[in-house]
Amino acid sequence: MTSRKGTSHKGTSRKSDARVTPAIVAALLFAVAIASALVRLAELLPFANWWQAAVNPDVGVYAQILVHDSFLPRLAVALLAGGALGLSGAVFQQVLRTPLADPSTLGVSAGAYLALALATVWVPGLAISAREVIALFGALAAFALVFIVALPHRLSPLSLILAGLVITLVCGAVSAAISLFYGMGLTGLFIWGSGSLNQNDWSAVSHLAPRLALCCVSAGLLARPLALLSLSDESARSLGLSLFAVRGLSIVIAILLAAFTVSAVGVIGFVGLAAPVIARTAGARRLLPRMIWSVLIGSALLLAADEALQQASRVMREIPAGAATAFLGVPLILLLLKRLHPAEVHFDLEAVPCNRRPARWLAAAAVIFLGLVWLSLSIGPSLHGWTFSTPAQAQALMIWRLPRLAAAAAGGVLFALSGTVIQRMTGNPMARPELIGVSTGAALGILLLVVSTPIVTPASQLLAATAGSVISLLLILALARRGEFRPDQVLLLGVALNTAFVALITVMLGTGLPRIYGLLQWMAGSTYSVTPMQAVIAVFVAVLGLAVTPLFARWLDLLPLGGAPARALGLNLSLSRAALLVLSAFMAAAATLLIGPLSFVGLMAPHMARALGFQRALPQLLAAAILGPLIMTLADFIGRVALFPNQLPVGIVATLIGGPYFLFLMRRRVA
Amino acid sequence: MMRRRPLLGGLLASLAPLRLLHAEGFAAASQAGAPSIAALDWGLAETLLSLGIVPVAVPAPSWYDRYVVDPALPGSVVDVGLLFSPNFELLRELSPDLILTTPGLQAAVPMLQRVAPVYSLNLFQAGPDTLAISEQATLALADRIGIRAEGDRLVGETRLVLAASRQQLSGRVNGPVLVASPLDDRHVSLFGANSLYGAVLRAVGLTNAASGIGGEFVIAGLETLGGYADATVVLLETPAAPGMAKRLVSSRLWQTFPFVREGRLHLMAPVLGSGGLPAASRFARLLGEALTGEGSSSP
Repeated sequence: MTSRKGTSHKGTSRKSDARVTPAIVAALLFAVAIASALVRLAELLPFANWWQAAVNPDVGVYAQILVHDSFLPRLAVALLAGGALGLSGAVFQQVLRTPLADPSTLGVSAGAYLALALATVWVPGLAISAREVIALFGALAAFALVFIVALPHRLSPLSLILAGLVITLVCGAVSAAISLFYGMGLTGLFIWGSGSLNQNDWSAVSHLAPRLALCCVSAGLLARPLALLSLSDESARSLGLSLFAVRGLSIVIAILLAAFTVSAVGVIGFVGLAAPVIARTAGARRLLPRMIWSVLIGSALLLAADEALQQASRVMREIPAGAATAFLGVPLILLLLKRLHPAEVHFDLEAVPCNRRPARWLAAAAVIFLGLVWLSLSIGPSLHGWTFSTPAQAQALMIWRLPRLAAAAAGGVLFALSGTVIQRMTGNPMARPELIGVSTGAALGILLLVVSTPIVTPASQLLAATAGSVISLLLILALARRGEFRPDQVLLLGVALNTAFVALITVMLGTGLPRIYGLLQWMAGSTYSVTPMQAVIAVFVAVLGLAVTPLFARWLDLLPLGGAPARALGLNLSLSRAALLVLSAFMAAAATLLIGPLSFVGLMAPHMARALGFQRALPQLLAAAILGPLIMTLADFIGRVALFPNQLPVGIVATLIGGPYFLFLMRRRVA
Repeated sequence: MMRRRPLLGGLLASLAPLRLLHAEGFAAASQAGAPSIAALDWGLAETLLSLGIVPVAVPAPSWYDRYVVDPALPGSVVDVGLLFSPNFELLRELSPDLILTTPGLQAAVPMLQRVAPVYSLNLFQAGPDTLAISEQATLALADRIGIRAEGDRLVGETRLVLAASRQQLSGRVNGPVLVASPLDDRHVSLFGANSLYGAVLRAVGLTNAASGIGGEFVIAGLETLGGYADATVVLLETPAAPGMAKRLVSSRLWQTFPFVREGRLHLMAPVLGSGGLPAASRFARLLGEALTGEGSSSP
């Protein structure tokens, strides 16, 4: 247990002693957790036998073995995992300079999850016997990718966060595809993904303890140089610090801490985020004390959460600890956003020569698009192999191929327009519509609907998605107004919403309820069951977007110039940003309803349009609105035929095309 | 062997191969003009087979083979894709007379109706009268296809199988029975009264040890099994975690469970938990075999 001596700590000496200190927080959490554990222990075993059960249990007595092989290792694992995640989070937040970073930010959990999913499907025997090794491999492989992508940017915080996010999304898309194919067969994986701390021997503890100890010591040694990282890059460099080396080493240690933990106990959300934030809020300002308190608070937090869940399981079904801590984290993130000051430079806009013959290029793109549509409508596998239909035959197939294609293309138009607006508004070519959190809001709405009612109709789905996106939009508007809709803040809000959403899905999957699998289909962005009527509506909305967005072309030309010049040219910054945000959000919400929350088309289309030399707002909008549906048509075609008769959702295919494209761009572009 | 087995047990034993023959007979008939039906759910497919009709199309048949096992799916059945996204174009090519779905596939119904008439029904619904619902749904299905007599036969046969197992098990099991299924090396599903397994336990006159479970099933830590001190445990293998049940046996905690020490643990082959009457029969039959140690394979 912790002592009270932390109260006299230097970092808090300014404040009065009556204030909350990290020691009080940790002590309180520990006290509650240990009291609960003692109550449960007393129910299992009389006090006289406690010592014997702990040290040398009688193999003939079930209760003694239960205490020794299940109760005690579970306590130990909670302490170890919580502490490791807390420390990992503290280091990440220091390196990435944002309190929103946590160990999963850099793709660790998603990578481990994907590796286990692949193993479960291909080598189920191995997935059972070598789970830790496989998960560890996946976690490290995902991080290695993030590292490679962020390397040209000298591991700058933003490059790490963005690369981590993209790899998380791509890994998530592949995992989702696997879940679609093998839904029920993956319940074991889903449970692992929701971070259950159940133990039935000491193997996880003896596996974790030495590795984590080594990482802790290394992190402690790095604390001094790491503390200087909170200065800006320039001033840290002027102190003779090898920024690159310190950043790289610290990240590797933090990653190892997280990867070991994830591989041993599964995905546990938000402890890594919450512990360092609580430590800092409670007064641990300097880095080394903050690291130490993060370990203790992380341990106490996870232990207390797990104890609370075990007490609660007397009256309800047991929830895995990782899932529960994820829920606790959502309000915490929203609180945090109020105090956020991300002072990060954006990627510079690339100077591309202006396109001299825009009309010719647009015409060429349009012809390619139409050709692709024709091909996609005519070609397809059937019972007797591939067939190419004549126009007359294709007419009969039209009803099956055209609606889904039209919906996918309409979604492509909307995401492309939405993405162009966001990218021009934020001046950030890496911004995507999903990042403003609106599509995530829509997905959350549908998720909650499916969980709360037994029968889901298309109409109620539409309603739930719209409600979800409007609520998250209002939330973002309310929170972002404070910062004059500063682009980076809006993006971070989106990241936070995404994180919460992923946690929620994980929990749902962990329940093992069959109806969740049907939902996965939509999550993955499927246009599979689109009716002709829905397709007509989708095209109508896309045309509407095409008609309205060009009206904002002047604002979109001015905003990328930056705040001051735009204002000098007579632009009301708050008003124009809010209006564009609303426009972009509504288009993103409509697109999400069509093709699900996942897709990179909103990033790719505007970016390719710029790369082709469409610099000004209007040409870029038009070019993106052709390229977007082109990508989606291709994705729809691939999804329909690649694994026939099985069908890959268009959102997953688009993510698999767009994710690598994004990473390639990031790697090439040196900020 | 026969002399120790109760009369109904013998009847049950002779029923199993008979039913298979029956299905084969109808497979031949279906080519001769029986209705061609696509069954977009494994429970529907097994029921259809037991009604004597071979479906033309079933999603993910390789998974049917692992989850349902019996009645076996003939090789002629076409794979129409994934469980929640059957391939419309392929279905159109097969042009069945009728498409059977569950309410879970609601979103696809408008498009499916362009292929053929759609009949949507729930053969399994978690609740206190699962078997009654399943019987009604089976009869409704038989009515819809116009083979009421086959429906009555299947309901009757299922009742016979349950009664046979009841007789076979009567007086042979002391204390309650817990049905569990391993998910990984630390977690199991425990099946409550509202599950298909719970319904069968009731029908064959056994007490469900997990009577406190409200829903169909709960996922619990392995250690909770030790709390069922007086229970006989039936550990259902799942196709999802092959060989897991055997793996658990090696842990020390497992060895201290009362039902392991006292020899009240029985491993059992997979049974589709969301199936209809054929799944209930299969579970009852396997249960009788496992708990009495008598196989019913030799007539």
